[in-house]
Amino acid sequence: MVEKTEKKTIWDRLANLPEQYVYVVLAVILIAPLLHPIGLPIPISDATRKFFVAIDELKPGDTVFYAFDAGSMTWMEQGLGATIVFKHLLMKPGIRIVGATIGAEGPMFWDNAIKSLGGLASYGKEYGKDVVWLGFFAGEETACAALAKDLKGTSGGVDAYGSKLDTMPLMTNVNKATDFNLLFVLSYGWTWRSWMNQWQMPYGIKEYAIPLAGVVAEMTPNIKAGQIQSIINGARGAAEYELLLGKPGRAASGMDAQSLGHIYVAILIVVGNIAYFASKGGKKK
Amino acid sequence: MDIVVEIGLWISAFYVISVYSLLWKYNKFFKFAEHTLIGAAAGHFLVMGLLNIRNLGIGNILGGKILYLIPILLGLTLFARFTPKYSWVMRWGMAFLIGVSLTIYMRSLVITQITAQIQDTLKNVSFADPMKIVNTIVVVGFVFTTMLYFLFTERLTPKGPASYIGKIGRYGVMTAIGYYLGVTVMTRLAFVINRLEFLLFEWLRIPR
Repeated sequence: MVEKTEKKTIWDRLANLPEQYVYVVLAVILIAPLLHPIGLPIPISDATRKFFVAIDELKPGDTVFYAFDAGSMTWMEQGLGATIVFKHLLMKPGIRIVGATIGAEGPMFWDNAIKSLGGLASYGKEYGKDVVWLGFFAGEETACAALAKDLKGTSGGVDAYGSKLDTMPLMTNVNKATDFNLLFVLSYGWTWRSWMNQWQMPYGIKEYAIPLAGVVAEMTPNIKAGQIQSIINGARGAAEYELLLGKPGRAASGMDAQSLGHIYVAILIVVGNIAYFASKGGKKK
Repeated sequence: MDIVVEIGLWISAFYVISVYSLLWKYNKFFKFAEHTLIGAAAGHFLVMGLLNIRNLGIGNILGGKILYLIPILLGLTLFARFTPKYSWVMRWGMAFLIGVSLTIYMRSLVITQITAQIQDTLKNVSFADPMKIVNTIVVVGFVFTTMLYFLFTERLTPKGPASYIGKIGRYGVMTAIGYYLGVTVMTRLAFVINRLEFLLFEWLRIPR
């Protein structure tokens, strides 16, 4: 018996398009604008502007806590925001920064970030006087809670490099959450929530977060409720921040590719749905 | 250029290409990169954990804070699970771990994730002008219908007017999922773009 071979329509072919083709086109769409930038406009969002203003309004002598929860698998995006915020903080004269992390990979990226920014000396900052790095603390939210109550006690009285905190001018009047003017949280996942639960909620310290764009949907209710003052929304937010600071860098240069990539994904979703419903697979339902 | 930096660039480029080669098909290069990543991550986390115990645990004990012995001993009990005869000892450490974590989470969780969110939803209730009325209906309406969709699904799904409450809630959930998808795409594209920039401008040194 000879089986009848059904003729495939264009929609059937589209619905079963090999995924490799999709990726090749995506690669071309992303590489082309990197080599030949189009210069699509980058409007500044209210969230980024609010973040920028918060740092810009800091006064000499103010102290901020920078929770540097970086991750190697997320640094490609979060590194853009983390670095530009760090740069802005270092550019502000008299601002003092205390850093720590509840992410095991944080220490590696803290040092890298400072190095990529040209070192503390290039901003007239001095370690121990303007910047102190406490390092990694295991325990996630419990570590946040302990640090909020007693920084020196939790760290054993030493910084990440083993130097005594009591000998550092910056640490003479700083030991708990309420000693800080603002809290900045770089978050590779959901650590912004741990800091919010243990620093913002009990002590009322204003938290500004640098999350992955993929997590922003989840934190939106907390932003609306005022638990998080503002955010830098992934690479896009970092690009806006670079423009606000007048230092367009890697984030801004990647925005053309980002925009075209989104248009491509949107087209794929629309075409994919049309193809599905028009094809035999969709009609069977 | 520094030879060490140059070698680092080539190794990095090799791993980036190996990882993305998965998009073509599962292959040995991807497998190698995957195993390297897991091995390196496990090693890094182990070292960071040990450093924490040395600096914050043993360091404090040697400094005279003898109470730090308690968490170290409780931590050691977790390894008892490897001996069937004494595996029950692990419960002590685990009980302490869960007890402390739960207490700390619960202290703030109810406020940050429940009461503050209810307060904020109710703050949106305003009938001052037409736009605010629309906003109130959208926000409060979707919050309640979405909650009902999850709470009383079975009762609301049968035919009848009540079934529409569940349907509206479902649209709310779908809208939220759409938002999730959009921002997830944004993150994934940012990852790819960053690595493409690395390959093009740092490794291949194509002038910008």
